[in-house]
Amino acid sequence: METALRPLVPAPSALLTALPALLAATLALLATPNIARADLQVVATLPDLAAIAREIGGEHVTVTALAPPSQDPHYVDPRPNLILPLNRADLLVVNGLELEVGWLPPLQVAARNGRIQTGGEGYFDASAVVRRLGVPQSKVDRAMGDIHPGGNPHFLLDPRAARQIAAALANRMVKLDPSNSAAYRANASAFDEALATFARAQQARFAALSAEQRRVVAYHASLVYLFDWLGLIEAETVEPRPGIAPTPAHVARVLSLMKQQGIRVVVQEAYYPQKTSQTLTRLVGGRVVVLPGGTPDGKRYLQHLQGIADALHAALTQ
Amino acid sequence: MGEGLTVEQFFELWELFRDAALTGALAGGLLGLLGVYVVLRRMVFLSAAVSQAAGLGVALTFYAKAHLGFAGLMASPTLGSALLTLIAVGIIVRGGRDTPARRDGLLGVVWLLGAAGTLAVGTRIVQDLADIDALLFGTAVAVVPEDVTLVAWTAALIGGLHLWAHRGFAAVSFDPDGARVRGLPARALDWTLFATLAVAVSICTRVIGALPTFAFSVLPALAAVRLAPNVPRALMLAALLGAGCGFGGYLLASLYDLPVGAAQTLLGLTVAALAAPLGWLLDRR
Repeated sequence: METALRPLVPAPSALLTALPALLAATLALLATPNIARADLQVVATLPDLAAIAREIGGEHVTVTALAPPSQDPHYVDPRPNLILPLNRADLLVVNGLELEVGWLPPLQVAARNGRIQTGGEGYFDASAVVRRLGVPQSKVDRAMGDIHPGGNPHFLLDPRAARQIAAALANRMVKLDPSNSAAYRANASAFDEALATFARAQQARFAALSAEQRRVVAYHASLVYLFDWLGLIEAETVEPRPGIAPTPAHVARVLSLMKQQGIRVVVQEAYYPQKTSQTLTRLVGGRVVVLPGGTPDGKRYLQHLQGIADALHAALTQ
Repeated sequence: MGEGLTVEQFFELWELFRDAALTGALAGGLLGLLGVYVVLRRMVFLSAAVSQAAGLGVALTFYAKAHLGFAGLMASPTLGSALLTLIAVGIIVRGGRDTPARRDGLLGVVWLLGAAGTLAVGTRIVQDLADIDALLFGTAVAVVPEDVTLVAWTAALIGGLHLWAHRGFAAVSFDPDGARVRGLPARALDWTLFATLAVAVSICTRVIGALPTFAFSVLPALAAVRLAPNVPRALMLAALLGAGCGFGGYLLASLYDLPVGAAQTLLGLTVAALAAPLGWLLDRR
């Protein structure tokens, strides 16, 4: 055994010879500027939250979104490759209001990262800082469909909610990474101003439409914040209850309502089935507006909202 | 759930329901007819396995479209599901010729491959998962006009072929040795029979969902085989019962505010259950 191991152990003289080279290599590595690693590793559950985090963090953060924009945020597969970014994260930004309850908790546990556990310093719940809509006034049970007891969780399509999130997120980044606090505050201030201007401009643009033009049907009850911001009126949803597939009788009621009120537009996210919406709009001579489920890769949050507002306005004024 | 419609309201809103209800009837009729062979050859799980393979075919098509740049016919979910279905049927028929046990095993393999494959590919085409879910679980409350045309043509062509060649298909199904002695092209007929089944299952799965497709290919035939005195009448009766379940299931879904696929399947189960006592009464006459 000893004979077999001996050739693997370098002689002391060989080590001494190699030592200067090793030291030189180590020093060279230390001298190289650390441009690859950002100061704060941020993981956001949804692409819109990731886009907001990028606006605040700028070059000082690396942001990873767990769910792609094309995926229904209620149902994300908790795959093993989502565990690694969570394990290395300094900050986890979640939507909250139980939107991610079906898939995030096992990932948090598997990540073995104390910082990002619920209630930890690196855990940021966006729903805690926004004005909530759709809070149930009576006792909630499963027969009512996919109702969130704390309120409707789909607030990321409202720039006014984004302003509240951005301000609170900037404070949290300052707390976690004080060395870049000035940058975080400056970015947050600029982003807030841009959001406020944009929100007001779009409100005015949609307010110019008549009340009849502003009536729409949504596929899922996920657009209440968007409609609230733009002053649109949700006359009905294609789903009879949140998360429950449409039945013929309900579709008939929706069609009758659309004809009665002259509604021509059905709005839905891309990840919901489109056949029923297409059938309804075909029968009333209208259009389906399909919204991306989140900020697409390579786009900024405001560009994403601008695209949505433009698509809606075009459909409502056709 | 809200309240259902009345029969009068259903027909007043015929413009809305026409495409989906007629597609249900056409699919039910076609699959009911083909289901007689499935039931009498003791392969009831064939369509379940094959429709799962069709799901994988759709998922692979979406994947090819999203990641490999496929377009046009090559990106057609109908083509993808038909191709995978034909492969699945080929595996089951060819590999399972020797023993029923081997055939059962292959049915399981195809089902599992379809299910696991769809889930795995689904992680790469999340934008289309809703469509795949809709077709697997039969939430097709609305059918687009192109799909009505597709199902109508499929029913006409495959139904016509089966009416024309039903003696040959029956001979190779129930008396293969006799068919060979009579000089019939037994192998070609057998493959044609399964190819038509594969195409019908793949197209119906894509349009109305896997649950009603499986139900239509088993339940009307179970009832017809119990009630009809011979194979040709069983084929006719199964087609009629299937069409009735397709249309009637849609109507029931409208009247009682139920999911369409579930209502069509429950009606098929009721028909199959009623066939047993009715058959007993007919036997006593």
